[in-house]
Amino acid sequence: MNKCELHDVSVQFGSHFALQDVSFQVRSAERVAFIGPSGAGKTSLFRLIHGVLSPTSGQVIIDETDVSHFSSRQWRPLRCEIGWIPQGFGLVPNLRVLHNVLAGRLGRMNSFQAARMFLVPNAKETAAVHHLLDRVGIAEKLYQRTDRLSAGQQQRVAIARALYQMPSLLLADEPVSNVDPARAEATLDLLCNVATEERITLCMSLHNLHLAKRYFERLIGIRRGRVIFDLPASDFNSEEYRQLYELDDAELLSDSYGD
Amino acid sequence: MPYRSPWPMPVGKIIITTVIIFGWAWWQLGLSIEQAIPNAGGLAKCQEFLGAAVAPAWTYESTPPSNSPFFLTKVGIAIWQTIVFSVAAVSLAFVIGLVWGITMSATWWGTNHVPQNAGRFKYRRTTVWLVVHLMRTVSALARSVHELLWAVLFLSAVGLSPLTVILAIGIPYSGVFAKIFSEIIDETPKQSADALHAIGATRWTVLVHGILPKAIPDMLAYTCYRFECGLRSAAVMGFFGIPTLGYYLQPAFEEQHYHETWTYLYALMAILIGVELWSAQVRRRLAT
Repeated sequence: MNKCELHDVSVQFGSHFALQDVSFQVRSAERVAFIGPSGAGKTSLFRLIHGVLSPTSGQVIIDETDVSHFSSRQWRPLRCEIGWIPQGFGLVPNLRVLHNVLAGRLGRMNSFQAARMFLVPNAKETAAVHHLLDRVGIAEKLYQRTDRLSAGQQQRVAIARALYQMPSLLLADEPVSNVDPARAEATLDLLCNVATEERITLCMSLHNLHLAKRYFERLIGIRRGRVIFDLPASDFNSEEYRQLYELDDAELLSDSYGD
Repeated sequence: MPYRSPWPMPVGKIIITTVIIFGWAWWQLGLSIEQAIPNAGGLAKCQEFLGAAVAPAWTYESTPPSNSPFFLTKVGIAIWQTIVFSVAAVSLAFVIGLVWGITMSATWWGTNHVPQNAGRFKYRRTTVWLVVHLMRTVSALARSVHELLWAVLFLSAVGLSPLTVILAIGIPYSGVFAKIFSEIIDETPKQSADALHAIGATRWTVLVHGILPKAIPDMLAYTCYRFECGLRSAAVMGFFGIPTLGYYLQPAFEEQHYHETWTYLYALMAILIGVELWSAQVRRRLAT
């Protein structure tokens, strides 16, 4: 997968627009931060890019192919190429770390291969997972039960799972919203380094503008389901900040929070 | 300020309705306290029976036929048979209930995975609704006939054999397992399932690797409880002539061998307590 484009995409739930006339293009190996208040539509955007949500109108184009109305079956091979780190990590709490990371490749397997991999992971698979865990800094947790790990460590498991998948595009939904500043920087260092080394396109939603400016080459601001700016990080200034975060009362009290 | 109860419900109405229904049922049955007071002869029987509780029998109360085994050997065999029947019936019901429960869960059919705004799923939704509700109806039918009624049905149709007893217990239990397992699957948090779905896993792989690992501890805990119920059912099936505890309990009671009766009752209690202790340990180990 090389690039991903949205053309005038709207997503509507009843009379509420989660996204409205959104257009942008992400090139291969680009690092883009999506910033905006809670409930602005960032998660919907990511769900659109891996086909869990389909647009009400407009087009989602991946590598010159219009995937807006792909069926689940048509989406599967594409989804295998798209890594996903959800906000709650989406790990199975009572499995070992090893098995949670192995799950990253489930998309490329049939049921029998998947069952074999879970029950008797071979030496090569175990070594690959161990290597990735080493890279994210928790190699010694390989055989631990996942819910025994701290939130920060669990996040690293989720990152390792996404890397084991070997995606060409990695989507991360607010990976640093619940961690302290030092950990946030460590996580962003890790994700950005990996993305650069493996030439993975990285799209991340963030609240923290300073971090966004420091780690990303391009910032896309989203508010009330619309793109309000799309700039190189160096051009970002206080005017855009004001546009993005000066919420009116209606937005502050809106119940579309986190849709 | 008018009084407001802590629950946003019409609490007063609920209490009054409950009391009225309760009173109506008692009045319908014409219950009076005398019905529970035994006459002199009955009272003596009661005393004799309850008195025997402190001294369960260790040997036969009257001389048994010449080739009978030791009394305690017989109790041991009865316990063993009760356990064997229960294990056979519950494990059969577990397997059927697991497959059935998966197929009647909303999670399996993906009705809670379908994007809210996707119109093309409408036709599929109707079909799925029909299939799921058919499965649920069949499960409700299997459950609504008690295992004793199934036993009576089998008894009159083909006569009772170990297989028919296991089916009599297994059929309603499969229905119960199906219902409970489908609920457990549907109530399991879906974050990991969604994450696996998002990276291209098939419906089956999502279920097996994203949902079942979390659901299985709850399912096993429930199975332990059902195993306990199975022991009671298997014991009662003895009344139909299957060599479990009930088979020996009934004649002992009828011949007024109350000390023997208590031995069988204590044996049943001992198994149930044993299973309870064991299942508590299983549950504790699964939970952590």
